[in-house]
Amino acid sequence: MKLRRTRLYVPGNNPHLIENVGLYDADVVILDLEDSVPIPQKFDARILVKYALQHVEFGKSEKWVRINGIDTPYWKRDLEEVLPFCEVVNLPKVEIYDDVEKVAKHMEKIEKKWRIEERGIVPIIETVKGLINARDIAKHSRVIALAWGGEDLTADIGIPRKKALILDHVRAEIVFAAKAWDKQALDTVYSDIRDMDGLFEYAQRARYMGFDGIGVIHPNQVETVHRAFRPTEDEIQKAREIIEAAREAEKKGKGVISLNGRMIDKPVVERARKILAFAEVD
Amino acid sequence: MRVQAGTEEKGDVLVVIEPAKKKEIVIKSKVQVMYGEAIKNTVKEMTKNLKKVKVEISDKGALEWVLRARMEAAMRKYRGEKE
Repeated sequence: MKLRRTRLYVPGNNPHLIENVGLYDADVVILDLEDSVPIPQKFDARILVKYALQHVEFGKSEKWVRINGIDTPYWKRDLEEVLPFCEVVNLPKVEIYDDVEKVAKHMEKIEKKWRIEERGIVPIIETVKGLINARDIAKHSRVIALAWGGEDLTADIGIPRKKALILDHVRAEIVFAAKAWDKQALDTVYSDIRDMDGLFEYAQRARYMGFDGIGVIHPNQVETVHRAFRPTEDEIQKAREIIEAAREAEKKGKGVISLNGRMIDKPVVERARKILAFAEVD
Repeated sequence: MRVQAGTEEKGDVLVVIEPAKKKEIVIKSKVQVMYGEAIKNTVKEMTKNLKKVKVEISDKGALEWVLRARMEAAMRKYRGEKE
């Protein structure tokens, strides 16, 4: 299982911030061509990002690019420049399945031309329309995870984000939509970069809501989030016992896994694997 | 037509290209003593097919890949690419 506990957003027009991205140990680095890049810099930024993907050391971080939305004139050009060099496309403001399909078709052309493997897409749900279609969007074969954006979504509903009472419902929808298709669910960012206690609580809450990670906007947030996503010793111990029982059953050719006299179903084994992956042990 | 790419922020470089009577490369860099020659070589190599242009480089400590990215952006704009 690919860990995506942290995805660090870095503005795609700022070489000084980009050059050290590999040092921060984020599971994912997202070079952003969308909101953090002003319109007059879109051209320069996509070329800068193309070079960064090829020349900057990303360490263990997965290389993503957030392209501009399909409601802009930029998204195709973004893909043409960066797709051959990134691993995943982060697609903002997705509202329907066909939005993903449209982008996937253009990606396919570029992938054929460059003779490269198929890249994944992580749609960002940022509108009410996107939210009610999230279950449909998540089923697209290119989609590897589902993310959402709090600021735009609460604005679309017409409520202030900080006082919004509907966000846990939104989060649950995102998690259900993603998990129904066996995709990862990714929570939005915690924007107070000085409040580490608040960040820890936020990230741990995201984990127990079913998310696989959250967005981060500052390198200092990475370690705290990884700690929050680390299972407890008790969870790790139980997961180890379950995996051991599953191995034993397999070795003895038993179809049924049991532990301490209780039957263990497949989803429980899968959850144990996930816990050990989060614990970064096997 | 005068075009530019990049910024004068830390770690970046501003590249300006404009028509001129003959080819001219001007480099302003705070690390000129150490890297001026390397910057000039990269610019020369990338602009070998461009004649009658003035290329002005204002370097703020950009790495080689940043200089190349900003040069490519400026040259493509000079050739008329938009957006």
